[in-house]
Amino acid sequence: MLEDRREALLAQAETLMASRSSITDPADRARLRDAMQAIQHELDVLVLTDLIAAAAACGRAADAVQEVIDMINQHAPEQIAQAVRDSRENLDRLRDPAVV
Amino acid sequence: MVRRLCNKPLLLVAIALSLLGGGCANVPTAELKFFREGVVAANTAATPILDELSASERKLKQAVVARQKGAATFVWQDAAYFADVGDAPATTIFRRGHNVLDRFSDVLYGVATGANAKGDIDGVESLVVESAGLLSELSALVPVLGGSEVAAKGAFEVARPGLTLIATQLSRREAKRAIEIAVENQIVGKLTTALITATPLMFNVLIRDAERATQDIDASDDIIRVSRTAYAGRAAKLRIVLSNYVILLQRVDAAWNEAAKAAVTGSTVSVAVLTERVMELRVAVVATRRAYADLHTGR
Repeated sequence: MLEDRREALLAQAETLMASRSSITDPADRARLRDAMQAIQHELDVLVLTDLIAAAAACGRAADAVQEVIDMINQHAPEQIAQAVRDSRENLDRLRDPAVV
Repeated sequence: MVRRLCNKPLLLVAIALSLLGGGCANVPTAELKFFREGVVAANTAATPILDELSASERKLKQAVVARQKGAATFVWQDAAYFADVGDAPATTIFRRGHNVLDRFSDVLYGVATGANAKGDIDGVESLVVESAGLLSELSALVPVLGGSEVAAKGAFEVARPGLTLIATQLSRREAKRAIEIAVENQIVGKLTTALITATPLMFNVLIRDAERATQDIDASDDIIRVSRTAYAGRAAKLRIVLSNYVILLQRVDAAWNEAAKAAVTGSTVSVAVLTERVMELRVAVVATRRAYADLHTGR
């Protein structure tokens, strides 16, 4: 799980932070810095990936709602227009000279 | 004959009503109004959160790209992470989720109340005016038809209530049908759940900057202490902001479930109860905004 991996990386970062005061050798210090940067990079990528995955699920759910909106926007006016057209036929009888 | 028709207003109304072919649709407009208010409240609360999420999302991606070794490149697919316009990619989708909820609640409430029926009725009115013109022309040729124009205009006035009723009832029936489809496919629940489920991931992105500051190998112990205090403070404030947001989304879902239930069993909400609930929502929005403002203060 990505969240488990995040927890593991944060724990590693914590360990590196705890050890930093005891590491004074410049070469060891540079290695420590590189290790921390690698952790930070992976953490950044991980939280972004997680967010994108959550957004994708949200996008699919939004598509389903949009379909119903489209259905309402298309079907409802059609139904009403048909009823009005039917009513127009009744009104059109007024235009029929035979009726008049 | 025209005069006779127009002198019998109920006849035209009856003709019009006969087209309905069924009873009145039971649509819970009060519940849908509350659902609409809930969506507006959640969207209002979401706006500043999503604004900040977009900025954080961009910052993260830019940091990732900046660390890449080798020659600098431009990846057009990443444009949304670097652009000054619009939102970062994930935030764009979350905001769309809120916009879709907004449109859904608006369109559904409009159909349920028959707000869109007026335009259709006005269309018929123009036809009657046209009919009156025709009858005037006929009157000139056949003097016995004198007065038909007035009569036809009168006919519309007689028919208008019936036509309005038809359009409104059909509109309400469409609303009921849309509710049934939405309930069957659980579309509102799925969307609110997706937004709620995303909040821990939003939290991780929103806290990332403060988190990184606590993991600076070269910072002094004093600076790390300050960074850790700032991190704890931001985490606490973010929890409040996102918790309020989650509660508002849960209320949207609850309001929808109530509307769906009322579509079957009939509306039970009085105007007084509705007003009280709307007020509660607005108070919740104010609380969320205040929590968001606190996020950027030193307190």
